Amino acid sequence: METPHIPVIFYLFAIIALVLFIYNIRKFLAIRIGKSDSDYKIKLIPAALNLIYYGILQRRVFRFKFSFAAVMHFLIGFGFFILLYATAVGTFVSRGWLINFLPHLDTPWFAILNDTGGLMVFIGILMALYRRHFNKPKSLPQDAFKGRGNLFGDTGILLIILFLVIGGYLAEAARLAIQAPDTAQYSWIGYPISKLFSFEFWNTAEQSLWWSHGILSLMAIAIIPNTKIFHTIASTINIALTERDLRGKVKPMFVSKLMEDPDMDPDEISLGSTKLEDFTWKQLLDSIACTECGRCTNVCPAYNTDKPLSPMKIITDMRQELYDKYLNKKEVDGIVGKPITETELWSCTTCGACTEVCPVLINHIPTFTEMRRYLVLSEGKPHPQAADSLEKTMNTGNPWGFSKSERTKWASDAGIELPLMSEKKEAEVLYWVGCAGAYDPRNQKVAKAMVNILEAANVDYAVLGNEESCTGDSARRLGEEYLFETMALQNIETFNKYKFNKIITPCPHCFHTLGNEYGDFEGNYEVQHHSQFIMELIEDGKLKLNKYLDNKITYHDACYLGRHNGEYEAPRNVINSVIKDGKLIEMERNRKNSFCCGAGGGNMWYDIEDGERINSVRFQEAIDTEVDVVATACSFCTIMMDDALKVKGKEDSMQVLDIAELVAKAL
Amino acid sequence: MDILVVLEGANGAIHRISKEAVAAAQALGKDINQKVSVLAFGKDSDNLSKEASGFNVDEVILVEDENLNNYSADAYAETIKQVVEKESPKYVIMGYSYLVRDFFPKVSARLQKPLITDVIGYKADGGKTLFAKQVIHGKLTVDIESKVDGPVLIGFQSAAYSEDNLESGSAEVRTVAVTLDPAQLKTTSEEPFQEESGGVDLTAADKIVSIGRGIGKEENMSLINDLAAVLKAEIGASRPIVDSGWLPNSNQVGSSGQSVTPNLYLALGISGAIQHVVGMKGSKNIVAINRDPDAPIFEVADYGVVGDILEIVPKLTEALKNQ
Repeated sequence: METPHIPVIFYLFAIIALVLFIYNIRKFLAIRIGKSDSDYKIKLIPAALNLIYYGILQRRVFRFKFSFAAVMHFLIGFGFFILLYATAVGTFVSRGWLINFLPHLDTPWFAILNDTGGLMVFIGILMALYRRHFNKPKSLPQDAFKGRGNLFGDTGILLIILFLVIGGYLAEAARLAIQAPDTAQYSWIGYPISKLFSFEFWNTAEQSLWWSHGILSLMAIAIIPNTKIFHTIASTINIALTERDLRGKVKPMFVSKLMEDPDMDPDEISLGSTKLEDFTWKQLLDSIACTECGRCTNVCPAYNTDKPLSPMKIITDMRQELYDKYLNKKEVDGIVGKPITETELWSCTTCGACTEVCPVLINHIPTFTEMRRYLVLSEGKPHPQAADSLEKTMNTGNPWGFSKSERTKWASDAGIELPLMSEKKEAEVLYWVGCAGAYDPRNQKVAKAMVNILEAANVDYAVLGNEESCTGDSARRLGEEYLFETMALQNIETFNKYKFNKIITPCPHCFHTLGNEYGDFEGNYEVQHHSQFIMELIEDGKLKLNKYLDNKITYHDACYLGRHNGEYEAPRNVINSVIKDGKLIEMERNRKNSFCCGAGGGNMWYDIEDGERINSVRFQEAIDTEVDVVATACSFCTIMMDDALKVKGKEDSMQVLDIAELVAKAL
Repeated sequence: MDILVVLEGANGAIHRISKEAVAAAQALGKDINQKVSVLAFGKDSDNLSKEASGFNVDEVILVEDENLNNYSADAYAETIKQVVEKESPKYVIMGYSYLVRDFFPKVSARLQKPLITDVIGYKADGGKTLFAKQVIHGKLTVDIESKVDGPVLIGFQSAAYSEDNLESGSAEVRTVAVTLDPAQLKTTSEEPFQEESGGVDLTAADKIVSIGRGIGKEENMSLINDLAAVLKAEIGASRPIVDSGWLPNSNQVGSSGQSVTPNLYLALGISGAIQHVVGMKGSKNIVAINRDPDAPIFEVADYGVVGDILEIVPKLTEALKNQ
């Protein structure tokens, strides 16, 4: 095949386009403002796997299969992959490079592939325009022509691509009409177009068609970094660099070490993050990578109950401020307060739904927690209602402010003699009761059920009794890192006095904190959630269940057991082992897609007044499954679901039971 | 002058918490043999002084100054400071409301004299006068004595004394002038406003009728309103009532609502979930009515009735009406 004649001046334009592209993409460097992250190491294999799985295969985009947005993105994305391949092959072949390895431009399958790719993009773009102008999902910016920080808005770039596709077909049709290759009819879209007009028409129009398509292509390349298409670069890099195993884990600040450091200058240190410089480069990259797809906001329990929080808004606010500072040289003092309000930050339940669905692997929660830390530690502004529980945690070791010496009263009142670590010194299992189990009358029933199970299975266990103290979970999520650290160090000191093989706890918040976060303070223990432990007992035949329950049961996933720790099956297996037909009834949203009870992230201790209650919305979902028992595996979930049960007036027909209570009933 | 009680206005009359402070001062005055005077100033100083002239006090001091018409912490603090310097009382007493918390410490700083806050009682003990206040979340009570010469500032906690014990009598009104330099008043305030929800400050309430999900239906809420009206009590609620939208958030008692310590807390159809109990367990007298004899609310209640509130409350209202 002959090399197409491309005028020299086109190459000149191409160079200009490339220079503009490089100039525009400089905004990437804005992440240099961020802090370095000493814990961060690029791991090549996970990065490559991320790139293939989440980048090229776009696994998260297709999370909810066959949704309109997923099909739309598939058509545009993979259509583009095909066109990119076709263009590359075209360029190589026309220059005679790798000619023996590559299909020629005019082989039948190449012609089919090329036209199909174009059509995919064409249909995808029409779907996108329909979505932004007729369907209008409310989580997306409503004025599609404005688009935050995007040149010509979101619609602008869609129209440019649409013209590119149309122009591409016309240029192809002209070539087919003029050159009339043998394989012309395999270009199944370009060929019919070429037949629409006469040879003379194509011959006169060919030059202008080719040039307009070429120039528009170069323009599009030059402005990529200023449009939504920038995500093909920024998001891809972010996907490769996100450490999946660090998701949801909050970084320790080591406040106590900071305070003991004699060289510490109190004016110099900043606690928490509000200035862009306070965030790590990766947190800033997260914000640049956001494609504004709205998935995070769509699944956010706060957003879904009309609270003033949209995770996407926070991330894009951050990006806007970053660009304002770096590109527009505007003075940006801090982003907490304005544009990101305190109420937005306090509305977050840290349930992790946003992080779970983000197609470009943004890690929201540690960033939000950093900003809460700033509010609490630098400005002294915790949520006023939460402040009370923080103070109580500090004074009494539990967020409700009950007396430390009454931590085992629940047991002694019921005539239970708890084996104490302080007496036994050594036990196979350390049963961590948790503050709710110790003080809350509702969760005390769960604690008693746990004792029944441990006794029935002859487990060698002991509790810490009055030596137990809040793990500091709520304090940490609320940004009170110093209090969290105090609690952690104190508990670790207690643990170190005794010998045990593992810790078990019925509270996923304790489970997460003890198991995943105490390690930063040299407290490394094997920690099991009671669902995992009970399942093991049943599987090993140590716990004999003597009867089945007659109930219809659904299970409400706890965020800190499920999404944050990947344990979806153990509680389900436990429940299934106490039902006769062995099948619990799932709610519509379950496992990874589960909907928070509303208490996480410290929200147990205050109410955001706006909108409906999160627990009521969730409980309605349970009512819709027509069950009589809502099984829980978390102290907070139990309290929240019990409250919602009352709000919904279902006291007589439904009950909320922890999985331990279910098992104790089946003994 | 011996004891000076500074009055706070509320809706054109003397604030309940100030009347409690006068009652406390009258009792203290008797015990340590000292005379009580009161100070009225602010927007409604005229009304306040008239009302106060009906109290059994030595005299009523009236300060009138246009700089005091709107609340300003600087103006209020400076006024009290000047009056105290002129009259040199031994004790300056106020009811420790939220507004007083804002400016009373300023008076202490300006006079360089001690301020004892949230006082719940006193002991006159062989020439020494000790003031009691709670510490460590109400777990301990400490007695505090001032070792400083000259006035000591006392803020009495709401409901520490009852306004029912206020002795009436008659007193002369004497006008005292202060000089306030507008340039020195660094803060001004907007018109006071009430939150749209008609937010109630339950923390200052003497009696609270609190309602839980045991009420059943929203229509039954009127029973509670009737009872509260007869009892002259504020209405509180557990979270499920607020979540159901039957009462605004400001009525919620508990860890995500208000923490209250009234003299009487009537818990109706409240099961006693931990979130609620932590907000009311400091109440002085807790009376619970609940159908479920095992309800945890009975653990904290001083008096308990097992029964249906829909049956009991109308009868209780009737009985109180006929009293």
